[in-house]
Amino acid sequence: MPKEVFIASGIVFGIVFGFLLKRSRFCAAGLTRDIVLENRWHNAVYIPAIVMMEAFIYFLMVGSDVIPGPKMADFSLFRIGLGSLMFGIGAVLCNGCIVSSLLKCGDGRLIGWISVPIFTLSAYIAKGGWLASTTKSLDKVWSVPDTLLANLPISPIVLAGVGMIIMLWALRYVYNTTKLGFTIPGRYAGWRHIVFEKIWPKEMVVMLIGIWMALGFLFSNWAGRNGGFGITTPLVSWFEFFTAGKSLGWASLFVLGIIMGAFITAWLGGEFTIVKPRLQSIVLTVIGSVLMGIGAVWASGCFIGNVMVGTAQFSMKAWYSTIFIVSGVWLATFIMIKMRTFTRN
Amino acid sequence: MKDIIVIDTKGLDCPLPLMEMKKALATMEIGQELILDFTCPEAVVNLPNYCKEHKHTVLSLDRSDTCWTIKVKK
Repeated sequence: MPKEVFIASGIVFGIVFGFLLKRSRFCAAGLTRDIVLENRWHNAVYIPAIVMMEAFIYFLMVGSDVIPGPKMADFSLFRIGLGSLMFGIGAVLCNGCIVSSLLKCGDGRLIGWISVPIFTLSAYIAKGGWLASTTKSLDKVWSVPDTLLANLPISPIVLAGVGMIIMLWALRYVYNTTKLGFTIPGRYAGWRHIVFEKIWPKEMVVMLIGIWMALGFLFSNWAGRNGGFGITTPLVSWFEFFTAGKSLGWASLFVLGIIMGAFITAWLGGEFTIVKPRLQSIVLTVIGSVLMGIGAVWASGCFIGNVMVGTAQFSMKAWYSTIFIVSGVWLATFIMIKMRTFTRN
Repeated sequence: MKDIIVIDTKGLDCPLPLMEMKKALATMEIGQELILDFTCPEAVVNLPNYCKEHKHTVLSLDRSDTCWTIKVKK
């Protein structure tokens, strides 16, 4: 099959990913934030469940020589930590990470169309613009080799397999103890209600997302790219496509697909509405998108690239980044709670 | 008892609709009702979930062409 067909498959992966996120109301930053904001500790199960499911299938494919293994590079503890912290704080200011902004673009919330271009421009500035030299010089501060995968005491397939079984048990427990005791009213019946309107349980959707993200490695590889789902570099590729005529790849189409998936799902579910943002949201989103854009480049990844993809490859850089992204989300949430308490009194 | 409290959170994304609801519920009397309009799709799950967890009664959750409306009794 020609390579172009596999490159085009990126759009299908994006549409399905956007669809799954919309159907389950899955928001990685929101789930992380609500652990401290609403004391919903069961939220801590969903992302590790995706990671372990994805890791198991990924290392099965690597072990079977279907796809090449990950390439680990040295990374700066300082730059990754700082960038991840900035990204986490920015995600709270934007009421969701950059993936949520893409979904907002698709489901009619105009705030998404403010967030995505500002994020993309900020990321470009940090990657290839006037902040590029700073990005490069920060990379040399406290640089360490990424040796986690190479030093694992057991096979990554076994580790991921055990992790997956534990997380499946945890998902079952969470599903049984946190069922929503209220039915969302529907406008449609039959397949349209089930597919596009009914809210799917997160516990089921995270399993589908894990499998889908693992398959992303396969199709991305067939398209000539060694990697899984990604957001930041693909968004920058659109900027470079329009400004410098550079070519687009599998992941560029993937991010476009997320917007399309959110639109199709919202439209067919009768949810598509143009929502104008308020001034306060616009100001916070502009600041948050700049922090996320620069932060994602300095962190060499975001909630997708590091927290949900790199971790599944057992990259030390990704696990290290995850600690700081989560810390950034929680730090900003604590500040938000304090500020609201202060303004109320 | 005070009248029904009405809050408009259209245009605000999560967690702000929930925070507005919590702020209002904290000052309401038992049996008093709250009507909250929202446009954030995630709040469709978050708001009823919060009410269930804190033993407030969701009287209705309706959708119009422009927003969802939840009616809650404390």
